Amino acid sequence: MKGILLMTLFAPLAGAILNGFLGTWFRKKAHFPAIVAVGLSFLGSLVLFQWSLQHPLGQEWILYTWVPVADLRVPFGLLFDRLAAIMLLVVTTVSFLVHIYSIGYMADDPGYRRYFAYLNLFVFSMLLLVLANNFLLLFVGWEAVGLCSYLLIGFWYEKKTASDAGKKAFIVNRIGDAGFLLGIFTLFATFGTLEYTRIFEIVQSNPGYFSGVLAAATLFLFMGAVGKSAQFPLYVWLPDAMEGPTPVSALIHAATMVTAGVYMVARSHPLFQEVPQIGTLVASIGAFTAIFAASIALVTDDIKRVLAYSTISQLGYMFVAVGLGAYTAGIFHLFTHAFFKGLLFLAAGSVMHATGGELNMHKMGGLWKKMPHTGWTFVIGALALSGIPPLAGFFSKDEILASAFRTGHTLIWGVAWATAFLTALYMFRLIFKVFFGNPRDPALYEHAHESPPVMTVPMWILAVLSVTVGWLGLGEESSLFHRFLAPTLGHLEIVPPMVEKEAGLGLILLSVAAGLAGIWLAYQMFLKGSPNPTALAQRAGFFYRLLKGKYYVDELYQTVIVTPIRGLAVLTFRLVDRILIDGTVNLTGKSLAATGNVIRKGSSARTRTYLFWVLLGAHVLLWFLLKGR
Amino acid sequence: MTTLFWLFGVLAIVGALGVLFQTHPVRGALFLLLNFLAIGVLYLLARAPFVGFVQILVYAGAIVVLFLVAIMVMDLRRLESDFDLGLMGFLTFVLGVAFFVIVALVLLKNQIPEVSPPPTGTPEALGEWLFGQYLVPFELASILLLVAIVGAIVLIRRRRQDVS
Amino acid sequence: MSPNAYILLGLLLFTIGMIGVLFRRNLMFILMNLELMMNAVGLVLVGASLGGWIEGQLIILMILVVAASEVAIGIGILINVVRLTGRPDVDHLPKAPEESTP
Repeated sequence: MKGILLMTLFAPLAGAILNGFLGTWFRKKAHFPAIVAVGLSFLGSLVLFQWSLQHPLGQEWILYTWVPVADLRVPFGLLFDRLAAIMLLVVTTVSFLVHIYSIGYMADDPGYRRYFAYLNLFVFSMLLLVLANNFLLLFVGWEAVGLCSYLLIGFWYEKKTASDAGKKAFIVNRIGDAGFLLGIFTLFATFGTLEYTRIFEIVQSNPGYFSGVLAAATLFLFMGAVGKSAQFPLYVWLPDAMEGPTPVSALIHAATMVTAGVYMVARSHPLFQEVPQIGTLVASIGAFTAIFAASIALVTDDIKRVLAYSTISQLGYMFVAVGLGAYTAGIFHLFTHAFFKGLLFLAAGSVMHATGGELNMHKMGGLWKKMPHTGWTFVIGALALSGIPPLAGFFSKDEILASAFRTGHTLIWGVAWATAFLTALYMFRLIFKVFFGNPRDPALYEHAHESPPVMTVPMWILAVLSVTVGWLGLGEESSLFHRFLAPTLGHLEIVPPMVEKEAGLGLILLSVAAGLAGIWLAYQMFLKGSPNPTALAQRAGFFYRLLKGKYYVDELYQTVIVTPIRGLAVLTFRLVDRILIDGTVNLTGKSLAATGNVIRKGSSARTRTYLFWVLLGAHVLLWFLLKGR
Repeated sequence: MTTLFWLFGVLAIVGALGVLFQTHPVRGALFLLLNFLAIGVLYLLARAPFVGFVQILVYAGAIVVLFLVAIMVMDLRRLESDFDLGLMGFLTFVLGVAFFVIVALVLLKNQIPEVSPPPTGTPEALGEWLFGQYLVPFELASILLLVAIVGAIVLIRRRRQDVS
Repeated sequence: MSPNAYILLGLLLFTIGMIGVLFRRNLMFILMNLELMMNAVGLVLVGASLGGWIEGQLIILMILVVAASEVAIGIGILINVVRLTGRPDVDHLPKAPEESTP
């Protein structure tokens, strides 16, 4: 098993090295080593999954001691349990399909091999993040995926907006990562080790003893998760990250990397369980982010940004679940979301491919006839996202809603429910605008064409998965998915009074109704035209402008944070650097020159005469030294 | 041991006197080599094997060769009136001898006892020091070498007006 | 051998080098005599290490580095002097320009 695990982990690294250093050998065949590498990982994760069916508790492999400094001993160790198995499966499946899709999407790009090298490196980093057995190694993976994300957002670096977006992602993530590091320091200072199993053992054998320290530590760790998983208030980088190639958005900024925060919280659930207040905070931030991002998505015109805000909103759902202790539900939503959101992005990429990179939905329309495969898969993805049974999103989203209700957090439940309605509304606004109605731009419509099979086949595979994977969650607490993860994540603790089974059915009906209502409203507004969306926007004046301006958060950050810091930098440059430091340096030089000019007058300019005086000086010194003896 | 010490001590002094009185640059450099080699052997005798070999390698191997190359490249010859035989030279000589006599007298009065067994400067022992307590001086030494490299290049590079 | 023999020998070589530096006009020989002085200090330090202060040997290594740098720079200066005046004579160094304000 160890061999297969290592192969799964390191095959993408090998692919990245091959493409990165020897890429000129492959040229237009650069996808070949990349796909073989990810394919190997995919097969390996299937075998590992099979193995984990028989080994509920998983196993830990310590390869070697990576950091042996004083008290700090960090092993390069891999922990493979059922949580890791699920994550491994999600990551390798989606990456494999995205790699294949990229052959078609990136076909004519001059940076073809660079693209595949980065993508492979990303897969390796993500697997490292998932398989690490301690927080420091997790952090290495965490930073490495951030690096790959930065490289891929700024992939078309000659475009100013793209390189700016990359920098923004990197800098915003740094804020979260600073918190994450503080969390790691706190854990190390308290427990003297960073390995999950040892920390969790200590915590679980002293319940309640560490809650003060753990409140700080989990808060710091969650800060990291807020950055990486694009939660309020650090979500601002994700919409801009859409500047990268679309398959990258599908893989990194929808399916895998952004879920790392959720994974991290689920992975350290023994710590979060100790401090339920922090859990509630996590859930509240998740719920707020969910509805906040969904409302912005309602008025966004760029199809990829709609999907980006949708991702932020869905990540909010996941944090609601893990915050409330429903770790399995959170991971389940992560699992299903990876497939249907990956699918939606790939389909959006297909639309862009067909329309020559057009992103504005108002210029499209009627594309269904031109590209049926894309249309069908997009609708399947949107239905799954809107939570219409029996598609995947229904099961996972419903579970989160149910666990919010059953743990007694009615407000959070209400917010999440409203978000479900908004989700359906904005998704079908997008669909009706893009695929139905009359073509708004004839030239664009004429040019549009269906994408090649190398792109549509991965989309169809994801579509089938988006329909089916939800069935694993059939039956909530007794489902296959729950029973599979129970040895690792345990069960949801339900606060009494427990909600009756009938109420559960009512909840399901309510959430389905929200989704259907959203679709119906979208149909009325954007296809029938009554109520007229433009008139509505005018009537809602202020509120509409607020949404359109994305609540002016970017502008707020600009004025409150960026401008003062820039001002401070200019000030330090002008005052400290120019006047104080340069001035001192210049003064030193000038004073030396002046002194020299004075002394020069009295010297003979004969070197050996100087040396003679040096010798005489040495004698004087000698005399002083030996005077007392 | 004692015989060897005196033998190589005398050789070192002969080398030094050669450098002092020889006027032909190449011969001077060869006397310098003799002095360096003798001192290297003295290091070996004083339980400093590492330093001894490095002495022979760097001084005898590199520095003397550098001198010789410079002499050949610049085609240096004897300088007429190389010694300063005036008043300044005389005073220098007196002061030098006085320095030697004073310090030697002080030393003979305050003898330093030999510890037994005297410590040996093996490469391991020196390495431990260098990469432990004396890491900062060690790194500074590397910076000094870098500066010297840059400085030597800057000094020797012909400027444009020199060529024309 | 006792430390004192080494220290005395070092002192003697140091004095010879020192006189050489002051006594000679040829820059090349001045440089060589400087090397002699540095080596003499090395002998003193070895003597100290025989007396129990083993770090002395470490200082010799440092002196070695300094000496190597000094020779490189010194020969660089020497070459410039020869280029400008035609001979390596300390008493006939090239004149610095009168005004040296940058």
